[in-house]
Amino acid sequence: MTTLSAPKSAAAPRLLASLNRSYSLIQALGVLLILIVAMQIANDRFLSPANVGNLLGQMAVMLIVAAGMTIVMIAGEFDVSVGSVVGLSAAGAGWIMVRWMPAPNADAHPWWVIALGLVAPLFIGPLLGAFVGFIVTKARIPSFIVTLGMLMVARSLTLVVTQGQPIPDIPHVIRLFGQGRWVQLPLPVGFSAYESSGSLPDLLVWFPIQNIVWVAAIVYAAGWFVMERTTFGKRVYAVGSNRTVATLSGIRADRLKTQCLMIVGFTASLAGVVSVSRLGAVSPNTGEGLEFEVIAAVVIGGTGLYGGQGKILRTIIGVIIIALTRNFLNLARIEIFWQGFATGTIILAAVLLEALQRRISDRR
Amino acid sequence: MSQQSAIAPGRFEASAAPAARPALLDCEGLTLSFGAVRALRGVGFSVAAGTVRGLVGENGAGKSTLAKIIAGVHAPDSGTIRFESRAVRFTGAEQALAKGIVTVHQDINLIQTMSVAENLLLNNEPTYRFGIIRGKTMRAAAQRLLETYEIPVDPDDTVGSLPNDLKKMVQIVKAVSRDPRILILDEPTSSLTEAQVRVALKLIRRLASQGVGFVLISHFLTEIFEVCDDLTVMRDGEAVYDGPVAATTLPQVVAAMVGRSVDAARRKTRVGRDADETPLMIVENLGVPGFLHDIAFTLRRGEVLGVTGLAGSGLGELARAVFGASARKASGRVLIEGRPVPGGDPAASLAAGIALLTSDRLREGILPDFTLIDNICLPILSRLSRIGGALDFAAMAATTTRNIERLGVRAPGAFALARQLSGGNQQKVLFAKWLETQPKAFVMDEPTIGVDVGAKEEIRAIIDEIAAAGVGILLVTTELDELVLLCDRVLIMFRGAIVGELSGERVQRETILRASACGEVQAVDA
Repeated sequence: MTTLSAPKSAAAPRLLASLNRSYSLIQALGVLLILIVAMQIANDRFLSPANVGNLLGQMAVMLIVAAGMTIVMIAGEFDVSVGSVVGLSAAGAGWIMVRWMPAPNADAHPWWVIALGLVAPLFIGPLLGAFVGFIVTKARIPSFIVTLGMLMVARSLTLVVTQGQPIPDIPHVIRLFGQGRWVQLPLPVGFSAYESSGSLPDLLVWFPIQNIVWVAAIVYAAGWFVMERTTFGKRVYAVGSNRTVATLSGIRADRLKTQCLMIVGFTASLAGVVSVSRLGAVSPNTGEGLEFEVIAAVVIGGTGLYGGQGKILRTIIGVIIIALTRNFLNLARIEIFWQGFATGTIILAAVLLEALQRRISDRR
Repeated sequence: MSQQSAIAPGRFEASAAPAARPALLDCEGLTLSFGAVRALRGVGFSVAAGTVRGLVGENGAGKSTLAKIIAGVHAPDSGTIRFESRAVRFTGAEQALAKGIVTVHQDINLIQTMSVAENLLLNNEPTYRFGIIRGKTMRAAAQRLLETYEIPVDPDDTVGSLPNDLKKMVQIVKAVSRDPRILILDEPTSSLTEAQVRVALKLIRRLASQGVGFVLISHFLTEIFEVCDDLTVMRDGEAVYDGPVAATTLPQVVAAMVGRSVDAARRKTRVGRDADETPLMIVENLGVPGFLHDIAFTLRRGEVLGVTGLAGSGLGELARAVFGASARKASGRVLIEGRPVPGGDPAASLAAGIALLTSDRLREGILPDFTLIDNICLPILSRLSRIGGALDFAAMAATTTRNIERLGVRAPGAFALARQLSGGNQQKVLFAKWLETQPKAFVMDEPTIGVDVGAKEEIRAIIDEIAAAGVGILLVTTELDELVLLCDRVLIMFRGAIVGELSGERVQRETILRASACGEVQAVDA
């Protein structure tokens, strides 16, 4: 026998639901604000143009991967291989641009080699994602395990491609883009000017934004559109929320999950190429450990661990929080060895908080 | 099989006159409500040591609620429970267990990958110090138990490799090994074959002779008459018969379960049915290993074809298999308007014009955290999108609002979350969802399960309307009222097969109940 909830009045539950929905957002923004204030107090260089620029540049790679990870986690799957896929894609790009064809230096390559070096690696992630998706859906093995295998496979391939050596001397054009800041935005980072003049408008500074940050912004715009405004996004939420219901509604869940794994693969590859353009070099360790930072960022952004809920734009907040912690440790001159400790603690706190919220909302 | 006599020839001997024994458990005036639903309305119930008390009633009559109160799972709103002449108040299943009230659930809840011995002594293993298990002692203890009750199983057998009946036996013996005073058996025979049932009943009788008090919940009335000393018949949360089995007859029990013998709810005859037209849906030797055998029937446009049977007879499996959503690989085929539907693919079934309303609303129907718009539009997203898959939100909202109004869904609005709605309104939302796919054949699995009486009426009216619009409806249900009220024909399922069909004047509560409980449709009687 099923219990029935008595009919409720309309207004109260609606208010409650909307509060409940925005609760995690308010909470994440609150944490972010506290962090920023605390950091500015601890170190007045924190909101300086130089540091903010630094921060944004560092975040771009993680931001791009986290967008894909959010989608795959909403679909109820995980991809822990992203760090290695970032590395493999970066290595692929570097190898094509620098080592593939003999030339006195990389800038001497014809344009199409460089173009190929930019585009071809973007297929690596989707291909690996399709393979992972095939195994996950056909053999019914949890994606966590399959991508764990892929994590090692792709890292090993990265070492094979790079021969364990860094690939320096990426063509100049690529660096030009990756390190360029072509568009400016007014940002409230002019603290020193504001303090000396005392006028509020001085706080706003026309701040040049890195090109790679715009790449991340485009990824999020596209991701938001796909998840919020298309049939695909709706189906991803439905499959992640309840696979049976989705399947019975005529949604081909296996295909959809594979597509999500290809999407996260694509974002990882894109991030790999972006990191090549930013650093102007490829390291065989590119992306190592990134997967856990990314998953942590997604979870801190309010996406559940069991699929079906989450918002792609909120992941940005999660990424900022993770990046800020790292930046804070740098600014506070705390030994780099503590970085994992700090990030790990934040992850644990975020997951505990999520579990706590789940329990509270279940009880309601 | 005998259906007519009160005491079947194969009846086991009751150990003593039930009245002579003191009641082991005695309940009075038990009431319990779930929200607005009054599941129990003052029920008296007693079990004497060494006797078997049958507990029968239609689905939703309150049998399991009563059993759960006795087992300490639910606490009653009011009423008293006396155990061995002392008033008790259980606040959890563990307390009832400690008193020796053990329940054997309908599902076989053994650990399939463990051996019989490990299962029998789970969490009760003989150990050396530091929790090291005494393997030999454990095996011997299990062996002793199995021998005592003559279960032909080796203690080292893996439970998963045993046939269903032996699993059931192991499950019962495991319960017995806890040394129970009262053993509640919930549908112990629903997964067993006829021969296996004999063995199980023999075991029950034997245990009763050792002084255990039994509560046997079963839909199989012939079994009840074979094995029980006393009988409680429940209807609408009340005990409508309470007395020795010998003092009643099977037809009387059926009548008591059904209640009013005058069928107020007369079935309307639908017009415009042409026997010559090609059937809308043809199902040919549909089978699912272990669940369904050789199912075949046809469904016409505008027809409501009922399918019913006891719990565990394969009703839900049938509904899923027709839709191509069977958990296991199904054999046979389904044709819509003469064209075969690709099997095993719900998306293809939907495209062919089949819809499935599942019975488990919370797990397989509604998405509670999604809005009504998302719930209703999920199967038709492609229709509601522009090029590139961009959703047409205005169309989605309009579709939802139109359905909310048409089906009378009481909801704060299209943007409300499904979880805010009552069960009946959630069910209407699911109706809207499937109707929007414009089905030709609509399979409904228990469409009014767990909804209140008012919503039931509304949903039945909706079903009638859908049929009148020319949709063929396969109504899979265990609610007799629904079958009588809505169906043109009724198929009876028994242990995974269709054993008969009732139509016209024979679609009546008693006939259906008798056929379901006995596994055969009787010839037209006077």
